[in-house]
Amino acid sequence: MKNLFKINRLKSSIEKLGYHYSVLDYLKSLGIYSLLLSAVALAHKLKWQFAVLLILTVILLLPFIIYAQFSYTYEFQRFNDYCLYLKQMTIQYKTHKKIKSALLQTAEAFKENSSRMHTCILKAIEDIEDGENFETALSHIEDHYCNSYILKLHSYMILGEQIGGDNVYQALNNVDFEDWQSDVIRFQKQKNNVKKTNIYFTLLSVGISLFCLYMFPMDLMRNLFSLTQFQLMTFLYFEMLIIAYTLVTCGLNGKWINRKE
Amino acid sequence: MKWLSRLNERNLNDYLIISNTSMQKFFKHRLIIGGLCIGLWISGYMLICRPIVFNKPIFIYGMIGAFWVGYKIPYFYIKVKVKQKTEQVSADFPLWLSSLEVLILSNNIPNTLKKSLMTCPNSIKKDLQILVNKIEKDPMNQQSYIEFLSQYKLSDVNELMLDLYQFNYLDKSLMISEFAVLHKRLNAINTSNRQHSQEQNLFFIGAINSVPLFLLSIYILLIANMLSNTLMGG
Repeated sequence: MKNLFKINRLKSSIEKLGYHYSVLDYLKSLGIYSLLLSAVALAHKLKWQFAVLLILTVILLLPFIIYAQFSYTYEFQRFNDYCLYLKQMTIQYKTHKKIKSALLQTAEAFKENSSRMHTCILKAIEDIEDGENFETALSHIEDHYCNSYILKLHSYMILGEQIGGDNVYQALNNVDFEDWQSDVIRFQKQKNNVKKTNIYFTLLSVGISLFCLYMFPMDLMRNLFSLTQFQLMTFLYFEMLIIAYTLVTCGLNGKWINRKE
Repeated sequence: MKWLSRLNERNLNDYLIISNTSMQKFFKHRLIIGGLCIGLWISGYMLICRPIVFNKPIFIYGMIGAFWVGYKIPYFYIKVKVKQKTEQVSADFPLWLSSLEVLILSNNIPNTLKKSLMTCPNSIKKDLQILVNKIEKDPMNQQSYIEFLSQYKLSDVNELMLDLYQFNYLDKSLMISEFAVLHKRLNAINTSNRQHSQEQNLFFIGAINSVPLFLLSIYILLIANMLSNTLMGG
Protein backbone atom coordinates (compact mmCIF):
# COMPACT_ATOMS: atom_id res chain seq x y z
CA MET A 1 0.00 0.00 0.00
CA LYS A 2 2.84 2.43 0.73
CA ASN A 3 3.90 1.90 -2.90
CA LEU A 4 0.92 3.96 -3.97
CA PHE A 5 2.14 7.24 -2.52
CA LYS A 6 4.23 8.10 -5.59
CA ILE A 7 2.49 8.63 -8.90
CA ASN A 8 4.96 6.42 -10.82
CA ARG A 9 4.44 3.62 -8.34
CA LEU A 10 0.68 4.01 -8.63
CA LYS A 11 1.07 3.82 -12.42
CA SER A 12 3.15 0.64 -12.25
CA SER A 13 0.80 -0.93 -9.66
CA ILE A 14 -2.14 -0.34 -12.01
CA GLU A 15 -0.16 -1.60 -15.00
CA LYS A 16 0.59 -4.79 -13.04
CA LEU A 17 -3.17 -5.36 -12.97
CA GLY A 18 -3.14 -5.13 -16.76
CA TYR A 19 -4.54 -1.63 -17.26
CA HIS A 20 -3.10 1.56 -18.69
CA TYR A 21 -2.95 4.66 -16.52
CA SER A 22 -1.16 7.90 -17.40
CA VAL A 23 0.03 10.86 -15.34
CA LEU A 24 -2.48 12.98 -17.28
CA ASP A 25 -5.34 10.76 -16.06
CA TYR A 26 -4.10 11.20 -12.50
CA LEU A 27 -3.87 14.99 -12.88
CA LYS A 28 -7.39 15.09 -14.32
CA SER A 29 -8.79 13.19 -11.33
CA LEU A 30 -6.80 15.34 -8.93
CA GLY A 31 -8.07 18.51 -10.66
CA ILE A 32 -11.72 17.42 -10.41
CA TYR A 33 -11.43 16.38 -6.75
CA SER A 34 -9.53 19.57 -5.83
CA LEU A 35 -12.06 21.81 -7.59
CA LEU A 36 -14.98 20.13 -5.87
CA LEU A 37 -13.28 20.33 -2.50
CA SER A 38 -12.31 23.99 -2.98
CA ALA A 39 -15.92 24.85 -3.85
CA VAL A 40 -17.23 23.07 -0.74
CA ALA A 41 -14.52 24.66 1.44
CA LEU A 42 -15.37 28.10 0.03
CA ALA A 43 -19.06 27.58 0.67
CA HIS A 44 -18.24 26.61 4.28
CA LYS A 45 -16.19 29.82 4.63
CA LEU A 46 -12.97 27.94 5.28
CA LYS A 47 -9.78 29.99 5.14
CA TRP A 48 -7.43 29.16 2.26
CA GLN A 49 -4.81 27.63 4.59
CA PHE A 50 -7.28 24.97 5.68
CA ALA A 51 -8.51 24.47 2.12
CA VAL A 52 -4.91 23.80 1.02
CA LEU A 53 -4.51 21.28 3.85
CA LEU A 54 -7.66 19.50 2.63
CA ILE A 55 -6.33 19.39 -0.92
CA LEU A 56 -3.06 17.97 0.44
CA THR A 57 -5.06 15.21 2.13
CA VAL A 58 -6.75 14.46 -1.19
CA ILE A 59 -3.34 14.32 -2.93
CA LEU A 60 -2.26 11.82 -0.28
CA LEU A 61 -5.37 9.64 -0.43
CA LEU A 62 -6.31 9.87 -4.12
CA PRO A 63 -3.87 7.11 -5.25
CA PHE A 64 -5.65 4.68 -2.91
CA ILE A 65 -9.05 5.61 -4.33
CA ILE A 66 -7.81 5.29 -7.92
CA TYR A 67 -6.10 1.97 -7.22
CA ALA A 68 -9.26 0.66 -5.55
CA GLN A 69 -11.29 1.50 -8.67
CA PHE A 70 -8.90 -0.42 -10.93
CA SER A 71 -8.67 -3.23 -8.42
CA TYR A 72 -12.45 -3.62 -8.56
CA THR A 73 -12.41 -4.00 -12.37
CA TYR A 74 -9.49 -6.43 -12.13
CA GLU A 75 -11.19 -8.59 -9.50
CA PHE A 76 -14.42 -8.61 -11.53
CA GLN A 77 -12.50 -9.82 -14.59
CA ARG A 78 -10.72 -12.46 -12.51
CA PHE A 79 -13.97 -13.74 -11.06
CA ASN A 80 -15.43 -14.06 -14.55
CA ASP A 81 -12.31 -16.00 -15.58
CA TYR A 82 -12.80 -18.44 -12.69
CA CYS A 83 -16.46 -19.04 -13.56
CA LEU A 84 -15.89 -19.35 -17.30
CA TYR A 85 -12.99 -21.76 -16.76
CA LEU A 86 -14.90 -23.99 -14.33
CA LYS A 87 -17.95 -24.08 -16.59
CA GLN A 88 -16.06 -24.67 -19.82
CA MET A 89 -13.65 -27.26 -18.44
CA THR A 90 -16.45 -29.30 -16.86
CA ILE A 91 -18.44 -29.38 -20.09
CA GLN A 92 -15.45 -29.93 -22.36
CA TYR A 93 -13.96 -32.68 -20.20
CA LYS A 94 -17.28 -34.50 -20.05
CA THR A 95 -17.50 -34.26 -23.86
CA HIS A 96 -13.90 -35.05 -24.85
CA LYS A 97 -12.79 -37.08 -21.80
CA LYS A 98 -9.23 -35.81 -22.29
CA ILE A 99 -7.55 -32.99 -20.38
CA LYS A 100 -5.63 -31.68 -23.38
CA SER A 101 -8.70 -31.49 -25.63
CA ALA A 102 -10.72 -29.85 -22.84
CA LEU A 103 -7.97 -27.27 -22.31
CA LEU A 104 -7.77 -26.55 -26.05
CA GLN A 105 -11.51 -25.97 -26.28
CA THR A 106 -11.55 -23.87 -23.09
CA ALA A 107 -8.67 -21.73 -24.38
CA GLU A 108 -10.88 -20.81 -27.35
CA ALA A 109 -13.42 -19.30 -24.95
CA PHE A 110 -10.73 -17.03 -23.48
CA LYS A 111 -9.28 -15.94 -26.81
CA GLU A 112 -11.39 -12.80 -27.06
CA ASN A 113 -10.94 -11.34 -23.57
CA SER A 114 -7.12 -11.83 -23.65
CA SER A 115 -6.97 -12.50 -19.90
CA ARG A 116 -4.16 -14.09 -17.93
CA MET A 117 -6.16 -17.32 -17.82
CA HIS A 118 -5.66 -17.71 -21.58
CA THR A 119 -1.87 -17.55 -21.13
CA CYS A 120 -2.02 -20.03 -18.23
CA ILE A 121 -4.09 -22.51 -20.26
CA LEU A 122 -1.70 -22.24 -23.22
CA LYS A 123 1.25 -22.92 -20.89
CA ALA A 124 -0.53 -25.98 -19.48
CA ILE A 125 -1.21 -27.31 -23.01
CA GLU A 126 2.42 -26.71 -23.93
CA ASP A 127 3.59 -28.69 -20.88
CA ILE A 128 1.27 -31.61 -21.71
CA GLU A 129 2.60 -31.65 -25.27
CA ASP A 130 6.16 -31.67 -23.88
CA GLY A 131 5.32 -34.80 -21.90
CA GLU A 132 5.06 -33.24 -18.44
CA ASN A 133 2.65 -34.88 -16.00
CA PHE A 134 -0.83 -33.38 -15.59
CA GLU A 135 -0.18 -32.09 -12.05
CA THR A 136 2.73 -29.96 -13.24
CA ALA A 137 0.90 -28.79 -16.35
CA LEU A 138 -2.24 -27.75 -14.48
CA SER A 139 -0.22 -26.06 -11.74
CA HIS A 140 0.24 -23.12 -14.17
CA ILE A 141 -3.47 -22.46 -13.75
CA GLU A 142 -3.62 -23.33 -10.03
CA ASP A 143 -0.73 -20.97 -9.20
CA HIS A 144 -2.52 -17.93 -10.59
CA TYR A 145 -6.09 -18.99 -10.02
CA CYS A 146 -6.01 -20.89 -6.75
CA ASN A 147 -9.45 -21.97 -5.61
CA SER A 148 -10.83 -25.15 -4.05
CA TYR A 149 -13.26 -25.71 -6.95
CA ILE A 150 -10.48 -25.52 -9.52
CA LEU A 151 -8.30 -27.85 -7.42
CA LYS A 152 -11.20 -30.29 -7.09
CA LEU A 153 -11.95 -30.19 -10.82
CA HIS A 154 -8.30 -30.81 -11.65
CA SER A 155 -8.12 -33.75 -9.22
CA TYR A 156 -11.14 -35.37 -10.88
CA MET A 157 -9.75 -34.82 -14.34
CA ILE A 158 -6.38 -36.32 -13.44
CA LEU A 159 -8.14 -39.29 -11.86
CA GLY A 160 -10.26 -39.63 -15.00
CA GLU A 161 -7.11 -39.76 -17.13
CA GLN A 162 -5.54 -42.34 -14.80
CA ILE A 163 -8.40 -44.73 -14.09
CA GLY A 164 -11.16 -43.55 -16.46
CA GLY A 165 -14.70 -44.83 -16.04
CA ASP A 166 -18.09 -43.17 -15.99
CA ASN A 167 -17.95 -42.76 -12.21
CA VAL A 168 -15.31 -40.09 -12.49
CA TYR A 169 -17.26 -38.19 -15.14
CA GLN A 170 -20.35 -38.34 -12.94
CA ALA A 171 -18.31 -37.11 -9.99
CA LEU A 172 -17.59 -33.92 -11.93
CA ASN A 173 -21.12 -32.87 -11.02
CA ASN A 174 -19.90 -32.57 -7.43
CA VAL A 175 -17.89 -29.50 -8.42
CA ASP A 176 -21.03 -27.45 -7.96
CA PHE A 177 -19.49 -24.02 -8.00
CA GLU A 178 -22.83 -22.36 -8.85
CA ASP A 179 -23.67 -21.73 -5.17
CA TRP A 180 -20.30 -20.13 -4.63
CA GLN A 181 -20.72 -18.06 -7.80
CA SER A 182 -24.14 -16.73 -6.81
CA ASP A 183 -22.92 -16.05 -3.24
CA VAL A 184 -20.01 -13.98 -4.51
CA ILE A 185 -22.26 -12.03 -6.89
CA ARG A 186 -24.81 -11.37 -4.13
CA PHE A 187 -22.06 -10.21 -1.77
CA GLN A 188 -20.66 -7.84 -4.39
CA LYS A 189 -24.13 -6.38 -4.95
CA GLN A 190 -24.46 -5.80 -1.21
CA LYS A 191 -21.05 -4.14 -1.15
CA ASN A 192 -22.06 -1.90 -4.05
CA ASN A 193 -25.15 -0.85 -2.13
CA VAL A 194 -23.02 0.02 0.89
CA LYS A 195 -20.69 2.01 -1.38
CA LYS A 196 -23.61 3.96 -2.86
CA THR A 197 -25.04 4.62 0.60
CA ASN A 198 -21.66 5.94 1.69
CA ILE A 199 -21.63 8.43 -1.20
CA TYR A 200 -25.22 9.53 -0.44
CA PHE A 201 -24.46 9.92 3.29
CA THR A 202 -21.32 11.95 2.59
CA LEU A 203 -23.16 14.26 0.17
CA LEU A 204 -26.11 14.52 2.53
CA SER A 205 -23.80 15.45 5.43
CA VAL A 206 -22.13 18.18 3.36
CA GLY A 207 -25.53 19.45 2.20
CA ILE A 208 -27.02 19.59 5.71
CA SER A 209 -23.93 21.26 7.21
CA LEU A 210 -24.08 23.87 4.43
CA PHE A 211 -27.78 24.40 5.08
CA CYS A 212 -27.09 24.87 8.81
CA LEU A 213 -24.50 27.56 8.10
CA TYR A 214 -26.79 29.55 5.79
CA MET A 215 -29.98 29.03 7.78
CA PHE A 216 -29.14 31.82 10.26
CA PRO A 217 -28.80 35.51 9.36
CA MET A 218 -25.42 36.34 7.83
CA ASP A 219 -24.78 39.12 10.36
CA LEU A 220 -24.92 36.58 13.14
CA MET A 221 -22.80 33.99 11.37
CA ARG A 222 -20.09 36.37 10.20
CA ASN A 223 -18.60 36.49 13.71
CA LEU A 224 -18.63 32.73 13.87
CA PHE A 225 -16.82 32.24 10.55
CA SER A 226 -13.87 34.29 11.72
CA LEU A 227 -13.36 32.15 14.85
CA THR A 228 -10.31 29.86 14.73
CA GLN A 229 -12.32 27.29 16.65
CA PHE A 230 -14.92 27.19 13.84
CA GLN A 231 -12.25 26.99 11.14
CA LEU A 232 -10.47 24.13 12.90
CA MET A 233 -13.69 22.27 13.55
CA THR A 234 -14.88 22.57 9.94
CA PHE A 235 -11.47 21.47 8.71
CA LEU A 236 -11.52 18.39 10.97
CA TYR A 237 -15.08 17.62 9.87
CA PHE A 238 -14.04 17.51 6.21
CA GLU A 239 -10.81 15.71 6.96
CA MET A 240 -12.72 12.89 8.68
CA LEU A 241 -15.31 12.75 5.91
CA ILE A 242 -12.54 12.30 3.33
CA ILE A 243 -10.81 9.61 5.40
CA ALA A 244 -14.08 7.72 6.03
CA TYR A 245 -14.92 7.86 2.30
CA THR A 246 -11.46 6.52 1.39
CA LEU A 247 -11.67 3.74 3.99
CA VAL A 248 -15.05 2.57 2.74
CA THR A 249 -14.02 2.79 -0.94
CA CYS A 250 -10.79 0.85 -0.37
CA GLY A 251 -12.37 -1.62 2.06
CA LEU A 252 -15.13 -2.50 -0.39
CA ASN A 253 -12.90 -2.98 -3.39
CA GLY A 254 -10.78 -5.72 -1.89
CA LYS A 255 -10.29 -9.24 -3.20
CA TRP A 256 -13.40 -10.97 -4.50
CA ILE A 257 -12.10 -14.47 -4.09
CA ASN A 258 -10.52 -15.94 -1.02
CA ARG A 259 -7.77 -18.45 -1.87
CA LYS A 260 -9.35 -20.90 0.56
CA GLU A 261 -12.79 -20.81 -1.05
CA MET B 1 -26.37 -14.98 43.01
CA LYS B 2 -26.54 -14.74 39.22
CA TRP B 3 -23.30 -12.77 39.11
CA LEU B 4 -21.55 -15.63 40.90
CA SER B 5 -22.25 -17.90 37.93
CA ARG B 6 -20.05 -15.59 35.88
CA LEU B 7 -17.09 -16.75 37.91
CA ASN B 8 -17.73 -20.29 36.80
CA GLU B 9 -15.56 -21.05 33.77
CA ARG B 10 -17.14 -24.24 32.51
CA ASN B 11 -15.17 -24.65 29.29
CA LEU B 12 -11.80 -23.65 30.65
CA ASN B 13 -10.37 -27.18 30.50
CA ASP B 14 -11.45 -27.58 26.86
CA TYR B 15 -9.96 -24.20 25.98
CA LEU B 16 -6.67 -25.14 27.63
CA ILE B 17 -6.52 -28.42 25.67
CA ILE B 18 -7.28 -26.70 22.34
CA SER B 19 -4.81 -23.88 22.92
CA ASN B 20 -2.21 -26.34 24.20
CA THR B 21 -1.65 -24.42 27.46
CA SER B 22 -1.03 -26.00 30.85
CA MET B 23 -3.23 -25.08 33.83
CA GLN B 24 -0.12 -24.06 35.81
CA LYS B 25 1.06 -21.61 33.15
CA PHE B 26 -2.44 -20.20 32.77
CA PHE B 27 -2.82 -19.71 36.53
CA LYS B 28 0.57 -17.97 36.65
CA HIS B 29 -0.60 -15.54 33.94
CA ARG B 30 -3.78 -14.86 35.90
CA LEU B 31 -1.86 -13.97 39.03
CA ILE B 32 0.61 -11.73 37.17
CA ILE B 33 -2.10 -9.81 35.28
CA GLY B 34 -4.33 -9.62 38.39
CA GLY B 35 -1.35 -8.21 40.34
CA LEU B 36 -0.64 -5.72 37.56
CA CYS B 37 -4.24 -4.51 37.58
CA ILE B 38 -4.15 -4.03 41.36
CA GLY B 39 -0.88 -2.11 40.95
CA LEU B 40 -2.47 0.09 38.29
CA TRP B 41 -5.48 0.74 40.51
CA ILE B 42 -3.33 1.70 43.51
CA SER B 43 -1.12 4.05 41.45
CA GLY B 44 -4.19 5.60 39.77
CA TYR B 45 -5.86 6.05 43.16
CA MET B 46 -2.74 7.66 44.62
CA LEU B 47 -2.51 10.04 41.68
CA ILE B 48 -6.15 11.14 41.63
CA CYS B 49 -7.42 10.96 45.23
CA ARG B 50 -5.98 13.47 47.68
CA PRO B 51 -5.53 13.06 50.61
CA ILE B 52 -4.62 9.41 50.19
CA VAL B 53 -6.82 7.28 52.46
CA PHE B 54 -6.50 3.52 52.00
CA ASN B 55 -9.34 2.39 54.24
CA LYS B 56 -12.08 4.00 52.09
CA PRO B 57 -14.66 1.50 50.72
CA ILE B 58 -14.12 2.79 47.16
CA PHE B 59 -10.44 1.88 47.36
CA ILE B 60 -11.15 -1.63 48.64
CA TYR B 61 -13.97 -2.30 46.13
CA GLY B 62 -11.80 -0.87 43.35
CA MET B 63 -8.97 -3.20 44.33
CA ILE B 64 -11.27 -6.24 44.26
CA GLY B 65 -12.68 -5.09 40.89
CA ALA B 66 -9.20 -4.55 39.44
CA PHE B 67 -8.10 -8.01 40.54
CA TRP B 68 -11.26 -9.57 39.07
CA VAL B 69 -10.64 -7.83 35.72
CA GLY B 70 -7.00 -8.93 35.71
CA TYR B 71 -8.00 -12.44 36.75
CA LYS B 72 -10.51 -12.66 33.88
CA ILE B 73 -8.34 -11.17 31.09
CA PRO B 74 -6.34 -14.41 30.38
CA TYR B 75 -9.61 -16.37 30.26
CA PHE B 76 -11.18 -14.02 27.72
CA TYR B 77 -7.95 -13.98 25.72
CA ILE B 78 -7.82 -17.77 25.54
CA LYS B 79 -11.56 -17.87 24.73
CA VAL B 80 -11.11 -15.55 21.73
CA LYS B 81 -8.10 -17.57 20.51
CA VAL B 82 -10.04 -20.82 20.75
CA LYS B 83 -13.01 -19.28 18.94
CA GLN B 84 -10.74 -18.21 16.10
CA LYS B 85 -9.18 -21.68 15.92
CA THR B 86 -12.61 -23.34 15.94
CA GLU B 87 -13.75 -21.12 13.06
CA GLN B 88 -10.59 -22.02 11.16
CA VAL B 89 -11.17 -25.74 11.69
CA SER B 90 -14.82 -25.37 10.74
CA ALA B 91 -13.77 -23.71 7.45
CA ASP B 92 -10.88 -26.09 6.68
CA PHE B 93 -12.57 -29.40 7.50
CA PRO B 94 -15.11 -29.44 4.58
CA LEU B 95 -12.37 -28.52 2.12
CA TRP B 96 -10.12 -31.28 3.40
CA LEU B 97 -12.89 -33.88 3.42
CA SER B 98 -14.02 -33.09 -0.12
CA SER B 99 -10.42 -33.45 -1.28
CA LEU B 100 -10.45 -37.05 0.00
CA GLU B 101 -12.86 -38.25 -2.68
CA VAL B 102 -10.18 -38.58 -5.32
CA LEU B 103 -7.90 -40.53 -2.97
CA ILE B 104 -10.74 -42.78 -1.74
CA LEU B 105 -11.46 -44.00 -5.26
CA SER B 106 -7.99 -45.50 -5.53
CA ASN B 107 -7.16 -46.27 -1.86
CA ASN B 108 -8.76 -47.69 1.26
CA ILE B 109 -9.80 -45.28 4.04
CA PRO B 110 -6.71 -45.66 6.30
CA ASN B 111 -4.39 -45.10 3.31
CA THR B 112 -6.51 -42.19 2.09
CA LEU B 113 -6.17 -40.48 5.46
CA LYS B 114 -2.45 -41.15 5.57
CA LYS B 115 -1.91 -39.78 2.07
CA SER B 116 -4.00 -36.69 2.77
CA LEU B 117 -1.58 -35.72 5.57
CA MET B 118 0.68 -34.13 2.95
CA THR B 119 -1.97 -31.73 1.69
CA CYS B 120 -4.26 -31.25 4.68
CA PRO B 121 -4.70 -27.75 6.18
CA ASN B 122 -2.40 -26.86 9.08
CA SER B 123 -5.28 -26.34 11.50
CA ILE B 124 -6.14 -30.06 11.48
CA LYS B 125 -2.76 -31.62 10.68
CA LYS B 126 -1.85 -32.48 14.26
CA ASP B 127 -5.21 -34.14 14.96
CA LEU B 128 -5.07 -36.00 11.65
CA GLN B 129 -1.64 -37.36 12.51
CA ILE B 130 -3.06 -38.68 15.80
CA LEU B 131 -6.00 -40.25 13.93
CA VAL B 132 -3.68 -41.90 11.39
CA ASN B 133 -1.55 -43.34 14.23
CA LYS B 134 -4.63 -44.72 15.96
CA ILE B 135 -6.01 -46.23 12.74
CA GLU B 136 -2.68 -47.85 11.94
CA LYS B 137 -2.96 -49.74 15.22
CA ASP B 138 -6.66 -50.54 14.94
CA PRO B 139 -8.17 -49.69 11.51
CA MET B 140 -11.77 -50.57 12.41
CA ASN B 141 -12.03 -48.72 15.69
CA GLN B 142 -14.99 -46.35 15.34
CA GLN B 143 -13.98 -44.44 18.47
CA SER B 144 -10.87 -43.07 16.71
CA TYR B 145 -13.09 -41.44 14.09
CA ILE B 146 -15.47 -40.06 16.72
CA GLU B 147 -12.63 -38.54 18.71
CA PHE B 148 -11.17 -36.74 15.69
CA LEU B 149 -11.47 -32.95 16.31
CA SER B 150 -14.05 -33.70 19.03
CA GLN B 151 -12.53 -31.04 21.34
CA TYR B 152 -14.00 -28.33 19.05
CA LYS B 153 -17.53 -29.67 19.63
CA LEU B 154 -18.56 -29.27 15.99
CA SER B 155 -21.54 -31.54 15.40
CA ASP B 156 -21.10 -31.54 11.61
CA VAL B 157 -17.54 -32.78 11.92
CA ASN B 158 -18.61 -35.58 14.19
CA GLU B 159 -21.35 -36.77 11.84
CA LEU B 160 -19.22 -36.51 8.74
CA MET B 161 -16.42 -38.49 10.37
CA LEU B 162 -18.90 -41.26 11.16
CA ASP B 163 -19.95 -41.21 7.50
CA LEU B 164 -16.31 -41.54 6.56
CA TYR B 165 -15.98 -44.52 8.90
CA GLN B 166 -18.91 -46.20 7.12
CA PHE B 167 -17.00 -45.85 3.85
CA ASN B 168 -14.72 -48.63 5.18
CA TYR B 169 -17.53 -51.09 4.50
CA LEU B 170 -18.73 -49.64 1.19
CA ASP B 171 -18.19 -51.13 -2.22
CA LYS B 172 -16.10 -48.95 -4.55
CA SER B 173 -18.93 -48.78 -7.08
CA LEU B 174 -21.22 -47.22 -4.46
CA MET B 175 -18.57 -44.80 -3.31
CA ILE B 176 -19.30 -42.10 -5.94
CA SER B 177 -23.02 -41.93 -5.22
CA GLU B 178 -22.39 -41.91 -1.45
CA PHE B 179 -19.82 -39.19 -1.84
CA ALA B 180 -22.31 -37.10 -3.82
CA VAL B 181 -24.57 -37.11 -0.74
CA LEU B 182 -21.61 -36.16 1.42
CA HIS B 183 -20.77 -33.36 -1.01
CA LYS B 184 -24.21 -31.84 -0.60
CA ARG B 185 -23.67 -31.55 3.13
CA LEU B 186 -20.14 -30.22 2.70
CA ASN B 187 -21.43 -27.60 0.29
CA ALA B 188 -24.09 -26.56 2.78
CA ILE B 189 -21.40 -26.13 5.47
CA ASN B 190 -19.17 -24.21 3.04
CA THR B 191 -22.03 -21.91 2.07
CA SER B 192 -22.89 -21.23 5.68
CA ASN B 193 -19.23 -20.43 6.53
CA ARG B 194 -18.91 -18.20 3.50
CA GLN B 195 -22.09 -16.28 4.26
CA HIS B 196 -21.05 -15.84 7.89
CA SER B 197 -17.71 -14.28 6.91
CA GLN B 198 -19.42 -12.08 4.29
CA GLU B 199 -21.91 -10.80 6.87
CA GLN B 200 -19.07 -10.00 9.26
CA ASN B 201 -17.22 -8.04 6.57
CA LEU B 202 -20.31 -6.07 5.68
CA PHE B 203 -21.02 -5.30 9.31
CA PHE B 204 -17.62 -3.62 9.82
CA ILE B 205 -17.81 -1.67 6.59
CA GLY B 206 -21.41 -0.70 7.33
CA ALA B 207 -20.24 0.65 10.68
CA ILE B 208 -17.76 2.98 8.95
CA ASN B 209 -20.60 3.97 6.64
CA SER B 210 -22.43 5.65 9.50
CA VAL B 211 -19.42 7.91 10.18
CA PRO B 212 -20.57 10.81 7.89
CA LEU B 213 -23.90 11.21 9.69
CA PHE B 214 -22.24 10.82 13.09
CA LEU B 215 -19.72 13.53 12.17
CA LEU B 216 -22.52 15.76 10.93
CA SER B 217 -24.41 15.55 14.21
CA ILE B 218 -21.27 16.40 16.20
CA TYR B 219 -20.54 19.29 13.82
CA ILE B 220 -24.05 20.73 14.16
CA LEU B 221 -23.90 20.36 17.93
CA LEU B 222 -20.60 22.25 18.13
CA ILE B 223 -21.84 24.98 15.76
CA ALA B 224 -24.94 25.44 17.96
CA ASN B 225 -22.72 25.64 21.02
CA MET B 226 -20.43 28.24 19.42
CA LEU B 227 -23.40 30.23 18.17
CA SER B 228 -25.00 30.35 21.61
CA ASN B 229 -21.66 31.43 23.13
CA THR B 230 -21.37 34.22 20.53
CA LEU B 231 -24.93 35.36 21.25
CA MET B 232 -24.45 35.27 25.02
CA GLY B 233 -21.22 37.21 24.68
CA GLY B 234 -23.17 39.90 22.85
